[in-house]
Amino acid sequence: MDEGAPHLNKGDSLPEGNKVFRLVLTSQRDRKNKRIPAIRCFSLSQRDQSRLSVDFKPFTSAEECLSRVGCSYKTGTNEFKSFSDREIYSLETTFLHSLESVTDITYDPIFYEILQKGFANNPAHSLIIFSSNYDETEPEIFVKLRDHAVSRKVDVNMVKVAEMVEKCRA
Amino acid sequence: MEALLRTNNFQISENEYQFSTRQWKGANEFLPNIGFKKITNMTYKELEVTSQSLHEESLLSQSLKLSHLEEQIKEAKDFIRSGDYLKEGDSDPVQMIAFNNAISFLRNYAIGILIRYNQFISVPYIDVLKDGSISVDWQNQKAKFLIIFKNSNRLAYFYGERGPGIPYKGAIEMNDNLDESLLVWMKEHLT
Repeated sequence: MDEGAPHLNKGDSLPEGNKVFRLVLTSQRDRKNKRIPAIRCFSLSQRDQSRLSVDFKPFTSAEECLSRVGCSYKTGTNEFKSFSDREIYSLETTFLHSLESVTDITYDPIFYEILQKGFANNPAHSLIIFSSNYDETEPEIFVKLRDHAVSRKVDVNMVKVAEMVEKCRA
Repeated sequence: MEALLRTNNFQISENEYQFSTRQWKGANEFLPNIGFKKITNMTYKELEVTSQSLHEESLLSQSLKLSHLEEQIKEAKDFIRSGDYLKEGDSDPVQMIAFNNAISFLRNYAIGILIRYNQFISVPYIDVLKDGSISVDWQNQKAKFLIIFKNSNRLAYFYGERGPGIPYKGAIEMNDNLDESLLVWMKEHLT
């Protein structure tokens, strides 16, 4: 955690002027079609309930973000997620608040009462919350998010990540 | 096809259509291949063509020279069939209605731009979103354009930008009619 990082409780709005990490999965097909990051990286499934997961930058590092993925099971399986095919983008909260459909960005840390293999605590987890008329503005939001992200890719020390992942998977 | 030809005021009688070379330079090459008989110079009689025939991949590839689009469509179809997008366990499955609507849109507007303006639309990226929607995404030096097809027959919403962030947005209904303003915008910025 950064020194001087704000104190937040679950549900608090993230303070303006900060950054959040968005971690995305890339594919060979995206690379072939020169779409990195792809629009898909900012889309939501039904179960996401109009909330996009991000990590509050003052509370974590890019390496920790990526290692949490490598330490987590794929949904409904005992198989660890891959981490080497991910990328991280640093998004400005001020920009996110300027998007028409974004109603809030809230702090939503994830802590498990009993630590289990395949489930990683995430003290930086936060949510970008979209409004209910999301369908209408969805294409605009995706294009603007992609354009904002494309120049904000974060360099990650993959050696460090691999070490962290190896440790938690053991 | 019939609706498209009528929309463009090409129809001169029940089954006959007339073009000027300015309107469609490729008519001589294209129309005989899809069941039109040449009557006089640039006048054609429709024989047994149906709109369905326009959706046959081989016909499009060979006659319309839109194979660049067909390759992308095939790639997207193969990707969906592979189920790779479901492996993370955080995506909803694609319903074929979304994919079919996206492909119909792409082909109809590509053909519309070819017939009307004799220009080829550039290749978009067809992808699967996490809710099972299909996105059709263009990015070129002139503009960007994204349209999303949901797992239902609802409206498809789009957003485009040209030049320094000049927006163009709206929605189209899922039917065979071409939206004239969208067709023109796509011709101007996505060809």
